Amino acid sequence: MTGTKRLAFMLGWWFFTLVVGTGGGPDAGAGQSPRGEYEVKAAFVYNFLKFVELPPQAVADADRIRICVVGEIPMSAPFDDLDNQDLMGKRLAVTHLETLADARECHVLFIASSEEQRLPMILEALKGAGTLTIGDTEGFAQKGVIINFYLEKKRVRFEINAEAARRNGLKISSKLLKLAGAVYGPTPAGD
Amino acid sequence: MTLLRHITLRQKLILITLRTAATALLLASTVMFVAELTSFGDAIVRDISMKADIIGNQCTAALAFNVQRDAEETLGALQADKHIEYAAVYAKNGALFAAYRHENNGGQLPQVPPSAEGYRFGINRLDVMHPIVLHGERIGSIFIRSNLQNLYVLLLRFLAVAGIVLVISLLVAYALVSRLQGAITGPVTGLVRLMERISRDKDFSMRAEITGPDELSSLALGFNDMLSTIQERDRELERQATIDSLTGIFNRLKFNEVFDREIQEALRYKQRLSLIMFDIDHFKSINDTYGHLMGDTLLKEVVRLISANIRNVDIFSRWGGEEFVILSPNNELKSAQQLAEKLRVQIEKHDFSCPCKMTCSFGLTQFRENDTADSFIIRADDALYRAKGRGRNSVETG
Repeated sequence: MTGTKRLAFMLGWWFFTLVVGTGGGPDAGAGQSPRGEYEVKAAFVYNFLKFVELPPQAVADADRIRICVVGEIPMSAPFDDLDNQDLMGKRLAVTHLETLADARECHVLFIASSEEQRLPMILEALKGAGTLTIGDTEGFAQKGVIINFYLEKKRVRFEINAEAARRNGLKISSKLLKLAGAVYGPTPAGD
Repeated sequence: MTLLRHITLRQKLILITLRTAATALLLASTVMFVAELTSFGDAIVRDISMKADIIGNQCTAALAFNVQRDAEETLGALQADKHIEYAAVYAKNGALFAAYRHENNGGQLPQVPPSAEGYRFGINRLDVMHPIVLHGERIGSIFIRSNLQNLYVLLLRFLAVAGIVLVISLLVAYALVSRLQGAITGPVTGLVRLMERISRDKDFSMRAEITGPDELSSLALGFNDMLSTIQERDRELERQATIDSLTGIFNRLKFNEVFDREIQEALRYKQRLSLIMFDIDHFKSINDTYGHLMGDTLLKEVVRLISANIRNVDIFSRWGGEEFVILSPNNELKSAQQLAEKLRVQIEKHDFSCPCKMTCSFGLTQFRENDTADSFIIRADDALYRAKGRGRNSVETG
């Protein structure tokens, strides 16, 4: 092994360890780290909260930001990992909902594909609650879910129903809107 | 300063002034240049840092949702600044997330992100590394490298302006010093010219002009004092060389000088010239009998008496011992004879300090065309000798 080759190898190895070694955490980070679809989605849910302004009255007196999951998701562990995480000075609380009775208490509601039939009912129950609804099924955004995940070339992407957000009193950052694969309804001006 | 040794005072003044002006200007330019450079450095750091913060902020969502394309698009906005060679966004873990390279720039992005946040100046570049912060959490960093072409443009412009200012200032300084140096070199040159003239003409009556109260005037004053002293001494020396110290009339040396001149005049203008030579009879025995002091007194009395009885134009001189000569220009022989006779009688009748009998013998002659100074003198001397031979106290003509 010549000197330059050894140096290149060492640099490569160091770079590899740098990328792999410091990965993890709820944030998405760089895309190089191979992670499961639901880990990415959980990280995205965490990050959405940084670009979506929840109604002030909904968060002002809450000591925790409640993230609720309704229905059966293929992998719930990444979501459970968000529990007790810190977000902008507040702690997150992850809850799996059995009934819709407590749904209005949620700041974020992740609606699994299994709930496709009940979706109109769920959205009806949340009316005016200022909850950020997140879907994981094709067509959910058009049906009134604010953010909806989909896969494009095996990469997780999302679409936004801006009209639904407006109706629920949520402000979505233009930065987030810009990244959305599709936006439904009029986009609000500014952040 | 060897250069200064071989040039005139005027050139020295000009050179010193120009050199001083140039040094002062260069110092001032250097200070201004450093100030300019510093303020340029501050401005470009501020500008690039601000761009880094704006672009970094625009990239927060792209980083959070791992959309490299969006970050690249955002970085693409930096194209507006052609001095930005490349820029990159790094993820929180340091991995390259998105990069931008200016189309004109063939340079390579550093694969590993620069470790230190802040800014660093290179030879021709400024590197700025800023954290990208989202809601107080550092989610990545942005790196911008800008070249410093503006700095070099500024530098060239500054050098050009400084050069022009330097040239103009030196020209103005030259014009000014050329006109003003006269205040110093004028009096000095005047003194030098005066000194040259005095040493050439040996005329110590000239004086330097006093212009003002400065050192050069003091020098001129001192110079004038020195001239006065020299002039006085010169006069004294001349007096000592030409005047007989006992009697106060011309000595033989001075007489010879005047004698030659008068002979030339007489020849040139065909004028008459008479010469009377006389001495005191039996002066040796008077000296022996009454002492030399008495002899001196008698000599002085004779001179006083004769001086009172001759014309102003007559040249009266002590020839030596008790012998005197009177050169009488423009006087014919007859008048000279009358004068000699008159003087002889005056002396005979005069009441001298000496109880002895005081008489003088006179020999006189007139200048002839073929005479030399010597033949003229010898003829008068011969006449005097004959007067002595005839029993003294008489006048003989030769």
